[in-house]
Amino acid sequence: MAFNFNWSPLTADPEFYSRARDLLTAALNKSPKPPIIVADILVTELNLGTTPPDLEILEIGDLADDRFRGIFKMEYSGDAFLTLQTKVQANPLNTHLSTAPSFTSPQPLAASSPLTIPLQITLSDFRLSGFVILVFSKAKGITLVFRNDPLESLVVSSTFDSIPFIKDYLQKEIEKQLRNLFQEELPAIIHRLSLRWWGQDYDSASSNTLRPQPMPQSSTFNSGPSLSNKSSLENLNEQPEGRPHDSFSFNNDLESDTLSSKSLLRLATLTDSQRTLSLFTPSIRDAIYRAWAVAGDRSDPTSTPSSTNGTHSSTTYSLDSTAPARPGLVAMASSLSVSSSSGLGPNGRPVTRSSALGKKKKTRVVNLRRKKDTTQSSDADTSSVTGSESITSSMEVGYEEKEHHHGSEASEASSSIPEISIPPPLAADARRSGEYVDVSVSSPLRSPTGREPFLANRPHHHAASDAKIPAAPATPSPPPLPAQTQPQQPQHISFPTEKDGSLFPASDEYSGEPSAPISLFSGPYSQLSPQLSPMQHGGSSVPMENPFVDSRGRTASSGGIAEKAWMMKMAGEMARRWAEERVRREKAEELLEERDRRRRNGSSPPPAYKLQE
Amino acid sequence: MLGFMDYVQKCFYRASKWDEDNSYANLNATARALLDFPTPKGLKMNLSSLSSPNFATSYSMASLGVVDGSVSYLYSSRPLDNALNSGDVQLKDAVSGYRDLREIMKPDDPRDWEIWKGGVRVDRRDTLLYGRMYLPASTLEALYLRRLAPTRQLKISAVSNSRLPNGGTILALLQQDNGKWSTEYLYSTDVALIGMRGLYNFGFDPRKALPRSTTATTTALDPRKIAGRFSAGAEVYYGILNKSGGMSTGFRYTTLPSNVGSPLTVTLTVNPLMGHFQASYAVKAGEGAVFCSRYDFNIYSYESDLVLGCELWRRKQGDDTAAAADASAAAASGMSAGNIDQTWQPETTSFSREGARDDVTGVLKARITQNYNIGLLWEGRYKQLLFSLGSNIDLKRREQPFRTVGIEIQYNS
Repeated sequence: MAFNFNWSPLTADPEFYSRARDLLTAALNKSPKPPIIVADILVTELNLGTTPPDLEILEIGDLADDRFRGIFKMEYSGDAFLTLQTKVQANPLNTHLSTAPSFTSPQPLAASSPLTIPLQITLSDFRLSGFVILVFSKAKGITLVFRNDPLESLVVSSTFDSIPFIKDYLQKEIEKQLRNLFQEELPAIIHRLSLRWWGQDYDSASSNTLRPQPMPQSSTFNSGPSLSNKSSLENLNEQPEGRPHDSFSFNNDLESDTLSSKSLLRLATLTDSQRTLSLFTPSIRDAIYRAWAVAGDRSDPTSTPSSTNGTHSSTTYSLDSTAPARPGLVAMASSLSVSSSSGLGPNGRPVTRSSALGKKKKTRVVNLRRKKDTTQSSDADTSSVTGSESITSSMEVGYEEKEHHHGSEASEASSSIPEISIPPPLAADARRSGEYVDVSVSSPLRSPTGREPFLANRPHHHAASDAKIPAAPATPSPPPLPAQTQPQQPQHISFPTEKDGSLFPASDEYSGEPSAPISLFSGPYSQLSPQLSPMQHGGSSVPMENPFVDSRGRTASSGGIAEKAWMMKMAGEMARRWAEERVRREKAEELLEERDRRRRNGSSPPPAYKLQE
Repeated sequence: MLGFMDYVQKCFYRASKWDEDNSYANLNATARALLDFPTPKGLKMNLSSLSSPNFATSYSMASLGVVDGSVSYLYSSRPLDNALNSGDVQLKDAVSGYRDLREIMKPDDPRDWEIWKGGVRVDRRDTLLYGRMYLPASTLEALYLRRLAPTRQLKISAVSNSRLPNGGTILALLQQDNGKWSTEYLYSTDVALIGMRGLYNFGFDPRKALPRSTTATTTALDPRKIAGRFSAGAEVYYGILNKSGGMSTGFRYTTLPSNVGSPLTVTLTVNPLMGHFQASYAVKAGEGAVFCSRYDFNIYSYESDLVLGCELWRRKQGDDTAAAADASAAAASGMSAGNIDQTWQPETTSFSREGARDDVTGVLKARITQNYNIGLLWEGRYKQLLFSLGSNIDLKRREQPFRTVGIEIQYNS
């Protein structure tokens, strides 16, 4: 992976300097000026120089066509310079008395007489060194934040160089102002500049109107939330139990914010096609790519330990039996997905994102990078591979779920899961994306104070948004209702558990419901399930990491030693975590758990993007 | 218009025979009063009372968007019998305008201040204590004034406000006035500012002229008194903490009441460090009109400024009998506090009688600057109330020329 930073094209734009000058001037005059400055500060000259800053990539938390998030170490010792023009009060007594209360003023007769002098200050020889957090999103522009005070030194040359006192004073004052500028004003300036560069996006974002022709990427990006919105809406209508309305409202807001009418139309036809068995499926460009990225992201948290316990499964089942309402089913589905790692993934997967605790986030960040490589390598895989990947994603989800509901068998879950859980995950994703948007906007402000949490959260959010995005486009795969039911059946058969009986009623009930979103996801999943079923057993016994799963999908029988060792290690880790989780869980009340599960399920994104491809 | 507390403080100076004008800080007081007068903003009301000759209180309330006010108390160890209420006070004393400088007085002999009682010295130094609290702003002003000796006065003023650096500042000012010359030493805690001011009056030395003047006071034919007075002074400041300083020097020529021509005051101040020159010329043309101009010029930045101002006194369209009666009454009362000049200017009765008789109903002050910024102020008395009505007009803004409008009402009892 290589990055190419172009320094000169930025400066080649003839309008760039004038715009930057204007923005700088506005920024410099915004904050109250020290009393020594008696006129507006004008930026007369601005030159970024020819020497670009040295950037060292410390971390990349998110990477896509239209998104980027990373942390850099920046060193700059170039030849940029900046010339300011203003008027200063040259009489120190005057500036001093202007701020002092008049009651105790010595009231000099003429010693405080003013003398304003035009001043030209040239700032050059900047020495900057600091950590930069750069977040780029095509829709939201560039957010650049300095984690620390980047200014090491600079040379201030002014009209008063011959007077040491004034020179020192100016140097001190300007350094103070510049530090403030770098930490507070510059992020805002860059953000505004970037918004202008992507003017149309800026327009759409600023005005909440629906644009008829959005950029393809943005449309795909938006499709996720929209779809989730719809599905959740349908669920609301169709399901008597009803679900929390908060997610729904969230979606509404989001939709109005980011969805264009055209993409809305596409998504509508998409969902309609699923419902009506129509063969026409609108194609949404770039959807596949996103699905890939999501899949890669997903893999990180997942390594299911070989030892899966049935302890939690029992609880979930009991819940189901007692309350066949949606929440219960969802929970069950999640539990199933956890254990089986087969088709359950879709439901459980979002769970991993949403339920991730603080401790897990860090590991995810690390894993993200690794996966990208693996996923990219796996791009060329055949359909079978893709199938395996989808499985893996589901398995990852399962891992997270496993923490909560271990040992539940996949078979029963498969039937119930698709219907119930799918819409919620999407909704949750939409909510996520909303969060993400917020974060990106507010990041400059937030970063200085709470850096660590900010960083930790960042990748997480992105991943979530990613997940959702691919899900939507992927869903177009045309799995009609029959397909949904059919695949589920084999699963039931292949993995029957003692509790099958209890689950079946619930599954039947839900299967009967014609909820479009469910069918979408279930379709791909169900198709895969037959193939996967043999693997599922292995999956349950072996820890599953996404990259590894891919490799295993091709050469499932012959796992590399290194892989196995790594898997074992991960399995151990997982087991340990699971134990911790269990201890924690036991304390929690069942109701709370149920609620949690429901929420998590709600956030699960669909797994079957590859199939679409 | 002077605030009541400022007026009382002025009365204290007068009662303790302290010449405020014989100080370098007040070298151009005339020009400042005529050209830099503040115009009221919004509605402001002052309610003050001198409940006893030693104790004064004042409450003020201002309404300019938000209501704020202040409460102030003043204590003087010397009974201030010369302070009058708002119905009786001469407008000339309540309004700062053209300063009719009086002849330099010979300071009292320190021995004159000694009071012995039964072989023990019982005299006390005159002291004034003053405090003012601004209520919403939570600002406290305090003043301690003490006449250390006939030629010395200590003035300590302090401001306390949490928003100020270090929570406030204290200014200590030690003034010494020998008549012929005066010096001031000050220290401010703000930036550890130290300063020194000095003023020297050329010509007639009251101390040396003492033996003769005692005999010649009534004749008033001493040629040394006829002319005006030329004074020169300088000031130096240095802030220890910010290592910056400032200085200026100034000159003033003013006619004395003994002058038969039109009274006039000319000042020139120079700040050699900043290259700033300021020249002012004020002339009293007739009984009720003062005109003043001031020109600023900086030889380094070539910046200049010109301000013109005037002060018009409106008198009662009176019958001469009433005026004469007033004059006679005033003469009979002996010009209690404010008109010491009367005692040794018998030949300039016209002036003195004018000052004594308070037939002034109002004063109009106006100024105009180079930027066509006009300040107008009407100060007068309505029954027992003193009021000042003012406005600031910017002619360059055609659409909204009136920048500020305000009225201030004062009642003192």
